[in-house]
Amino acid sequence: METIKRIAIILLAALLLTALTLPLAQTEWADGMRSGDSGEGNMNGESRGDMSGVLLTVISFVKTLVVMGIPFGLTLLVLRLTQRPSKETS
Amino acid sequence: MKNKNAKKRNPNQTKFLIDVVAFVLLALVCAPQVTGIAWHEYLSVIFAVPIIIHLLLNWRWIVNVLQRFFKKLPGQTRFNQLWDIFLFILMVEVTVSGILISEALLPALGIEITNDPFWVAVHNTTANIFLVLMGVHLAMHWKWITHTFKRVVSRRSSTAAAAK
Repeated sequence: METIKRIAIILLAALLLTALTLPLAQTEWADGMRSGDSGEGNMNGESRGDMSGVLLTVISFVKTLVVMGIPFGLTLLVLRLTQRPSKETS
Repeated sequence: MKNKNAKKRNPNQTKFLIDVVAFVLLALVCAPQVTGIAWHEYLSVIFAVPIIIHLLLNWRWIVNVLQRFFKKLPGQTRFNQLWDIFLFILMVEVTVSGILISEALLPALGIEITNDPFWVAVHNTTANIFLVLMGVHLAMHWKWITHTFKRVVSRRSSTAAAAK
């Protein structure tokens, strides 16, 4: 019962955020983005062109690795510089 | 009795396994060019399951920190809580915008929608920001990840040795 209550809280928070997000589509900002759309490229804003399957796979995962990896590395660096070695902070 | 207890999984190890599943799913979801749009959408829905379990397994921490948020708290704990809230908001935004531009999941349910370039832009932008936030989230918990990984590996190797 407690688990169902917690799941309901998570879904309710998500619904609340959704309700706040949907009206954005009616704003001038959204209209501006629609008129500025070139209609090219796929869902990820990239053009597949004549790329081979292997290359496409590698590029997709490398992109994810870079976008996630750079902030990951920088955060580890900042943590290492700011924390005293003997201090446990988890 | 002893054997039964030995089979019990440490809660941290359960959390770790759920997180590994979530991470693998995230890596696949982030490559729609590889999986195709239909699988990208189906995997995104599946991805919500380990995320909800992740939140449920960490529920006590979430509630404790929220209750003490305006009281004395270590800076890193406060940062983690704020960051996790941003991560949750971003995940909801990615999901909502993804549903609104669905090309496979909603049509399969008999719901036809027109593809709005605004939601495509929102989806792509929030997805990239989500990855950046996730990178920081992983780094903030890197000590726990490596520590639990070592414990899972040592537990498995000792179980294998005992079975021989």
